[in-house]
Amino acid sequence: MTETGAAITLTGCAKVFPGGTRALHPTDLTVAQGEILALLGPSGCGKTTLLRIIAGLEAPEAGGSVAFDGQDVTDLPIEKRRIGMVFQSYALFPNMTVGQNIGYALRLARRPAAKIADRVAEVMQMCQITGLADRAIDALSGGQRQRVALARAIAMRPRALLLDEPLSALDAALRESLRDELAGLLRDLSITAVFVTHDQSEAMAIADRVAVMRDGNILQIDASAGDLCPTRRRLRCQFCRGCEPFGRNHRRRPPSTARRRGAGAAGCDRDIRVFHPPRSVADRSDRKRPVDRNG
Amino acid sequence: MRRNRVAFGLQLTVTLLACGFLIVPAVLSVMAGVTANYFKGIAHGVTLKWLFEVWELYADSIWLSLLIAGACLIATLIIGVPAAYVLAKNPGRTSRIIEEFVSLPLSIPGLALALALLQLYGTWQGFRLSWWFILVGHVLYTLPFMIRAVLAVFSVIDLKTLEESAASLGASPWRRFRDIALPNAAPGILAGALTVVTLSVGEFNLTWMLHTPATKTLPVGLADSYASMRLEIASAYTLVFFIMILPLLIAMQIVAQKAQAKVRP
Repeated sequence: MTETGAAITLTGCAKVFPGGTRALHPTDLTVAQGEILALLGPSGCGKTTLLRIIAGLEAPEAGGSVAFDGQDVTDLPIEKRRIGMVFQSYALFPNMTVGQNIGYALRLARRPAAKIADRVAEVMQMCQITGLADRAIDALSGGQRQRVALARAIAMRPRALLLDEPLSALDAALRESLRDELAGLLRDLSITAVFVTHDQSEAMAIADRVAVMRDGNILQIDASAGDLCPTRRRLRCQFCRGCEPFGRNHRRRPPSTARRRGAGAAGCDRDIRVFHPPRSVADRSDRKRPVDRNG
Repeated sequence: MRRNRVAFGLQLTVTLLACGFLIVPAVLSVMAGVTANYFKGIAHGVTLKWLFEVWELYADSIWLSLLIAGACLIATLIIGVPAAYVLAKNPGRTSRIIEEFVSLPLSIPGLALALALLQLYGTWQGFRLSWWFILVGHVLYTLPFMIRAVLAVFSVIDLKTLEESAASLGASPWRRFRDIALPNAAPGILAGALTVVTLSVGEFNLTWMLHTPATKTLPVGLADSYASMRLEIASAYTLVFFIMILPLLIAMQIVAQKAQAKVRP
């Protein structure tokens, strides 16, 4: 069941889009082998751009580099990076069945047909979609699509799994249950994973570490695996205090203040709801928004 | 209630009149084609004689039209599909300008276009006298229809993300085109292909200017038969034309409906 993951190292990666929009300031980032990192932030903060640079869908500005296990892949196109990617819209191929979608990477790699069939069955079982192999894509529910997208991404045993808002197209109830399932699956695979989200509870539930982003910068990277609770409290406070989601100057705040605010976190719970619109509303606005490259 | 019935009656009358206005000339023409003697009327006898005579006189034109339509289809597929693909992948001002340029032949009268072609290639005797010359005109005229039809499908299926996901799975640019872009564009390609064939078979404007006595196509032959043959032969010719073009038109309708059903699942 265990997959092999690669450590990801980004050095000085920046991105300026044509027209001069600076989507990402020069950023260093290391994701350890087998680690699950969340990129958390509001839309337009550069988290998707960062993910796309890791994937190879965007090239960093000159001077930036991306390495997998120390091997420089900056100039390698995405199809040679051996990563798995789950897109916000899932991007399943409508001209193929579920099974063909999942086996596509293996067919490209010219694996023998029997091996492809075995592996497809295996990942379908992992993602709990056994029995759907011959379905057409437009006959699937939202949750099933999400599972197929995940199964397709891990079928090739990629070096890293990159997920762009993997749950945001689902309705609230489904999102909760799939979130936990996704967290369990990623941990079972012990694969290096980077996922983008704007939902801090999702980030907390799935990730080993959370990188909070804003305005093209990583503001903070927090918490190793066993250290989630303090981070959760601190982040929660940043989200809710004065309805200012990411306090611009929180880094300059003396640690004692931070602790004091952290201690008052319990009282913030109600405020979180003030800052966050009710889930259903957030969902809808989210789905309508076209896939934004800066997000 | 009564008012409703009157309104319905009026609507029905107008609709029937409009249909009659459109259909009666076609029916008359077809009937003339199977009438033994037009001046005596259809009551004096029905015959297929004229149809055979048309075949004898103009079989070459019919075959040539089919040949040109087929070649035109192949050319627009080879040029148009990749062109639409590139335009869809690079949305931007340059693409828009190119798209407009490609559509330019539509806004110029076919005669003018033919004149331009004659000025440019008129001195290349071998080319000028062959059916290839007409083919060039037809491709110029039908290409925008193919590009537009394929482009429309590409803009519906979010080609960019589909290709990105194929790339993440290891697909080279060629495999992305072959495995993802082409199959998903199939309804648009089919619709474009039917349009191209129909237009090419029926094109008169341009072809009339470009043709030589040896390269008469179906519509040019029709004009010729009206000008120089018995009315019955010309009418029978119209019938042949109907027989050839109707299946294409019906197929076009079916494909268009299917494509629309796919867009709104």
